[in-house]
Amino acid sequence: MGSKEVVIIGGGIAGINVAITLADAGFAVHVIERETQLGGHAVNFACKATEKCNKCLVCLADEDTLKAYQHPKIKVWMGSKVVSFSGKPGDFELRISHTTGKESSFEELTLKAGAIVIATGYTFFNAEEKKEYGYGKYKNVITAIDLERAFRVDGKIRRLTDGAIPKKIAFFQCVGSRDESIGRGYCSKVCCPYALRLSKLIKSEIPDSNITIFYMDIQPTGKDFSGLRKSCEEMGIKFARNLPSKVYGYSDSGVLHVKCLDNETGEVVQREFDLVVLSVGMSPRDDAKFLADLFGIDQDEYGFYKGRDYFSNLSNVPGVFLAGTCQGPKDIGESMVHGKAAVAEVTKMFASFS
Amino acid sequence: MTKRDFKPKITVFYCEHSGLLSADMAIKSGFVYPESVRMIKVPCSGKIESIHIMRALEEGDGVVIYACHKEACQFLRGNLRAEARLAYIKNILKEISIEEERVQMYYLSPSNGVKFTRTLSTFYEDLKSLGPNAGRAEE
Amino acid sequence: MTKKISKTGIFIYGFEGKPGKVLGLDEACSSLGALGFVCFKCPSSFFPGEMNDFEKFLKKNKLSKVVVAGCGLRIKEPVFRDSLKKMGLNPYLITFANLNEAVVACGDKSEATKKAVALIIKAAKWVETQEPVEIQKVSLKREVLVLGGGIAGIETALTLAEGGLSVILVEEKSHLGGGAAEVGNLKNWTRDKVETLKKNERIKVILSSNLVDLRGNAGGFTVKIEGAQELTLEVGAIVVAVGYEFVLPVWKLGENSKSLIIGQKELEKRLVSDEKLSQRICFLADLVDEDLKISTRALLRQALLIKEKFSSDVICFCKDLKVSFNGGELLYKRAREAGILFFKYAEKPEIKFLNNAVEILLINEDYPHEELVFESDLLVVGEKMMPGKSFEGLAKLLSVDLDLNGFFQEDNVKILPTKSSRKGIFFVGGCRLPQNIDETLSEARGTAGEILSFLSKGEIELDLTSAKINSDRCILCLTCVRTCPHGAIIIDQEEGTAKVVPIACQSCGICASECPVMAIELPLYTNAQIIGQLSDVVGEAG
Repeated sequence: MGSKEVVIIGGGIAGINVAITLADAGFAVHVIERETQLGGHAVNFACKATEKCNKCLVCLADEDTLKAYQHPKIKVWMGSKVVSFSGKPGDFELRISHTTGKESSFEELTLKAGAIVIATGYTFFNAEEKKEYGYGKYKNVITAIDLERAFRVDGKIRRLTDGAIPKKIAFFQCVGSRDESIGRGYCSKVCCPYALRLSKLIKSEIPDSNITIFYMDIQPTGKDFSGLRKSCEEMGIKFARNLPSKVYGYSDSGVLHVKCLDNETGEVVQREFDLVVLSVGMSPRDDAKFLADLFGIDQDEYGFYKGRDYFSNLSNVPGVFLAGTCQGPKDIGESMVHGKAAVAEVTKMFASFS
Repeated sequence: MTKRDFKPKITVFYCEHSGLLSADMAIKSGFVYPESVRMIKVPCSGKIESIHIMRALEEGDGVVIYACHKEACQFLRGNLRAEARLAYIKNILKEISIEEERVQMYYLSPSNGVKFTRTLSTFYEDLKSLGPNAGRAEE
Repeated sequence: MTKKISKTGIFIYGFEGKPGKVLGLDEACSSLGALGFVCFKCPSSFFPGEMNDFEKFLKKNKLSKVVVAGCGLRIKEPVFRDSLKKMGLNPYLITFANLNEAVVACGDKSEATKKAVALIIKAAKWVETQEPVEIQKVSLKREVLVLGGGIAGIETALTLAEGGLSVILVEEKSHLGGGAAEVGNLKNWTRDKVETLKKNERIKVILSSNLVDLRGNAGGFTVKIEGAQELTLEVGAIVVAVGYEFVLPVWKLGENSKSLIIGQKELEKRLVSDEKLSQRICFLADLVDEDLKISTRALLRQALLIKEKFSSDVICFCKDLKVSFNGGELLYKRAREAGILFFKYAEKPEIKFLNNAVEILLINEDYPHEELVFESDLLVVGEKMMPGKSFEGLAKLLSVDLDLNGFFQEDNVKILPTKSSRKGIFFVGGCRLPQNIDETLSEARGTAGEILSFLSKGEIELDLTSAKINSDRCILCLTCVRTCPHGAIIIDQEEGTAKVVPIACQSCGICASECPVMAIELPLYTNAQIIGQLSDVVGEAG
């Protein structure tokens, strides 16, 4: 019988769901979080409800974060990271380095754990790598993540150059996903849903805006996704099946010229937009390799941790489990479910000891 | 009392699944409630009874209900019940000639701090221009 | 009144740093002390394992009711309740005052302090009216009923059993495996799973049987199963993993259309049985169901298989190519490289029957929007997923809802996508939403994880914060039974009253507000408490 303690690395959606469910089952849980708050990327996103809830599940991050903070059996180590690891399933030892609250002072300590769950999450594709879209060069080219933050913090979106209300807005899908030219031959799964929901949100905030979504294929997730798409079309959001090749910012006015296909004639044209939103995809974290080497777990060709089969939580190292987007792109709901699946695997392992 | 000095007394009923976190977010980002605003937590907007709203109007100038967005109620249809109850109250108010704008309901998610700030401030200003509640019990 | 107040303690913590400077906590303490409260300012934020200060404070002053004042929502309410429980005190004679409001309104220190004191007094008044909440131990059955023996059901059952629970798996048909057993690349995998399942001692499989009756609630359902075997069991949770049905769209055309148009499922059968296929094959996806991801996945696999095996001409038509599964984009690339053509349409293609071929007319969505005409020996169409025939009856039996399309309706997805509106009942797999195998398996394991967490301990301590019905007042109008979103209210015929089942109740209070004779109260939010807050506070401001 191993010690009924579990260490979870990463306090995003998947990590905190593992923590809450395990703690409810009576395990003592440690969460190692590198940032100063729980909730991962999702706590910076905006609620996308319009006249009704659009089921983006972003609020889950806020709710679950609170639950995890308050749970008597969960200990959260903020500003911490793993330094070393040893032992066998049921009896691991982890050294972590953790911020002591005072600035840049660290202390190291050892945690014991029967099982380890890795839920380190993802990072967004760095849109500056797609030079042709001019992110970082033109202020009015933003990523969908910037847009999410703007809606969360200010509840509205304005052009960054002059603070004017944007009227002509373009979404570019598949920025940093489904693109083998930059080594990302996978679909990131979440960008279509969030782009549709964000465009709906903009349209309801700025009713006279003109929104075009440039896409390859719309990827559905969840129940009644075609209903969501239809409601977008009914609101007047246009869908254009082609990906623009370049963005030009000629003038000081902040107007952007987008080189794309005209849907009617098929000619290459330049269309004017006030704001270009890049729907950036999910990437493995830059430091994913560090943990992979530390624990000896396999990565796939893109750098996500490799599960045994179909979305499996089992890594190649016994006693070390995977949860959430560190294993591959997932939306918020799927991350939660994947986290709970990791709980099942942990419980299975402890049951096999007795 | 002139209109400018008038500080409307507002009772806010908020659902602990949405309003609680949104209010916290609003406060964290620097929102300060007007002093005469009182917050009352309920487990679901469906728990707010007509009598609570009427009593709040008897002793104050306005009532705000914060419910979860449609289709997002933790308890499926609690927010719709609140909406129906609100319509009923507004009818009564009309009959006894009290401005129905004194009771408002807004939909929030747990991460709608901005909307919380915006709606509460607007409501406060609206009540200010509406003046004191004629139906308020004398103190 | 004053005598009562003296029993209430005020515990202030977590104000080192900026919040502490903004508020005059010492002044606050002394003005609260003047009102007869016992005040304690905890010098540090003391979590974890430092609840000593709190416990000492309670013991020393023999307090039974306490207000904890802190900053922000991070007041660890459950931790304090836990601590009270350990001391043998009722964990609900406590209330929490969030002083953030006062801290932010920090224009003036004395104003902020005044506001903080007002907030604490408000909380203290509330806790005055609070009655102790009973705590009840409820035993939980460590058995789970899984309905349906497809991959979703099998994976759930296996995970539960390996996690230490007993499982009864009931399948309508005479064999296990469901739809996946007929799919080429999943056949062996499914067979292995079925074998592992049969070997597991904790799983009892009952074939050719159905659920016919259900009573009780989460932790202790009584279920009756009929069919090949008749038995009555007690289970702690129920997982619905019954399968859906495939329906091919119907064309009102001659007999020969049947041999020219087939569904993907039919094609799979032919592929598995190594039947020789015709030379020109077209696939038509997204015709009847745009949301279906499995159809695209199967299409890519089947098209590639046909191309490699028979080097037929393969052309695919779809609205959107759904590659959001593991390896999807690469599979699509491989298919294109193998010479399979893909055309995307915006408007549904037209289909005509020639003598021995099908003609497909569509407008290519890509420039120059030309009208394309293809002739094919065989047209493979993606089926529509339809709810199974048993769904309606089963939903009635379980008292859960179906969605607009006739699939099982989950509770608020935010809670857990596979959770039903009734505690202890879950929907896994295609009966809720047909998905790719990765997602379905993840859902199965996730649901198993949730159930393991709930049932493993064999008993739980329930805080009876659930609604309470005054049996003297109840007139059996059934309003509460109808309005309860979780099916937590039952009728006790003998006593002639409605009753709340504490384990199923989630304390929303909807029944309390709907009851026409005010017979229901919600312990932490009684009418007196809500109205009490109103009159006190609003009056005070004037």
